[in-house]
Amino acid sequence: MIKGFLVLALLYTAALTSITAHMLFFKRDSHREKIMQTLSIVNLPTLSLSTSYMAAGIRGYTKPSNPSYPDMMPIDTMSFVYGE
Amino acid sequence: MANSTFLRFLLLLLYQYRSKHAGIAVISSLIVALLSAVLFISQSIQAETALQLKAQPDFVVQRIRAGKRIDVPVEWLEEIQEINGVSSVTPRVYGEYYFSPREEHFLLFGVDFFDEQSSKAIEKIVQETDLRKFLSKEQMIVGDGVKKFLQEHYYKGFYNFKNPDGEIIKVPVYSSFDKETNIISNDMIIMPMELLRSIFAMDEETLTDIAFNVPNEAEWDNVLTKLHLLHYDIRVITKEEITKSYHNLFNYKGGLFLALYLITIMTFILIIYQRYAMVAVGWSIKDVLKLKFFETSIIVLLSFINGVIIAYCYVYLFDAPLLSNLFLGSENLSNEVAFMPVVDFGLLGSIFLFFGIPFIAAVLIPVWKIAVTEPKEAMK
Repeated sequence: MIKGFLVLALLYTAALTSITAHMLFFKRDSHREKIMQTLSIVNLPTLSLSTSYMAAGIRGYTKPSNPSYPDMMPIDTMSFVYGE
Repeated sequence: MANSTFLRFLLLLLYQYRSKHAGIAVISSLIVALLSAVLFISQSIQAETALQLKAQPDFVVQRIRAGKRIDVPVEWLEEIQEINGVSSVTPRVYGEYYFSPREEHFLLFGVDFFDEQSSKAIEKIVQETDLRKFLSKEQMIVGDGVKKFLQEHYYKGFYNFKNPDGEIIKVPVYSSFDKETNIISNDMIIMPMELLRSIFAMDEETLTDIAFNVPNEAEWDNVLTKLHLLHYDIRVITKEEITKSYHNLFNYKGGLFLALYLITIMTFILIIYQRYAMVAVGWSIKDVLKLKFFETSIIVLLSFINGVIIAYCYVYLFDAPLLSNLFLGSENLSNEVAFMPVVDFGLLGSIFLFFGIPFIAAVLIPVWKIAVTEPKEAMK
């Protein structure tokens, strides 16, 4: 019985060690550098949100609008996630 | 020795009721995993946006007519450059291209490839880019999502853009952005500025908007006033507005998630509410509480570790399928973002407290109630 618990403890230790190693050795600098270089090309910092054509694709720069019914405010699903 | 006996009894108890404990641990792990996954994704996106905001210009000038944004004349560039304290004035040409058959759209950016900074960045970001070869004809560099979209729709290495006059403009794909930059480049297409103007049928002397910096923050209000005096039909977007937009991730709707989590945890706690009558067989109240405390603590700790491990692997190893759609949307091109690992131990501690304390209390309170009753009554 005790052996079973020891095996379980070893499994947890191994899993936590792997996660810690992944977190520590993740190439953050290269990831950040690639993003900054892409930003320096386009000069427009924006998240690539998968929104509908009528929603605000570039948050802060464009407002949601419906070309067929300009007075009607379309539902912008991303406003449930990001503040205004 | 006493401790060893206690430990043996504790383990025996856990082993004896393993199927009951396993059931509770599985449900607890899933609750913790779901909450941790949502928080991991939001932290990772926040870290990425903080990075992006560093590259955000201090001001962006747009032209507004009848409540709609219209193109800005090129002459405004010089006018803005002449304002004292202004630096890095950048013309920007971009827009969304609509692919009507599938109701999807791409974000097109016009880039001045003869600009030294842009050309250097392109050489670095897109592997094996020979800038001379790239500039030899009108070509484009596409994001990972666009690349997949074109492949799925049988556009092999090119795309036929249709401009507002009905002309077809065939543009070959030169290369694609690295998948690591999907969080900003998934639906992006970059191409020479002139080519983009012909696709959107824009006047050569116009821009989408103008971005610029004012290094001295004390000058910001002064520069804003000067801009509004220059033109009356302008909209100036400040860095603060954009920062607010992205930093308020779950700001006012975060309460909704917390409420849902609390409802889930309270329902679950009601389910695990249980009664024990060990005092009737000669146990002291202290022993009963001690045993139940350690038994429950082990289950809580194991469930918490399970939940965090599941959430970590789900978000940072498997890129959070389905749940990432909550943050990045799913109405346009599918976006497979590689999230950068960000783990806030303070937040994990809070999750543990929110989860562990009600859980332990839900077991200990009824146990204590029963333990203090007379053995005769408890056995009734």
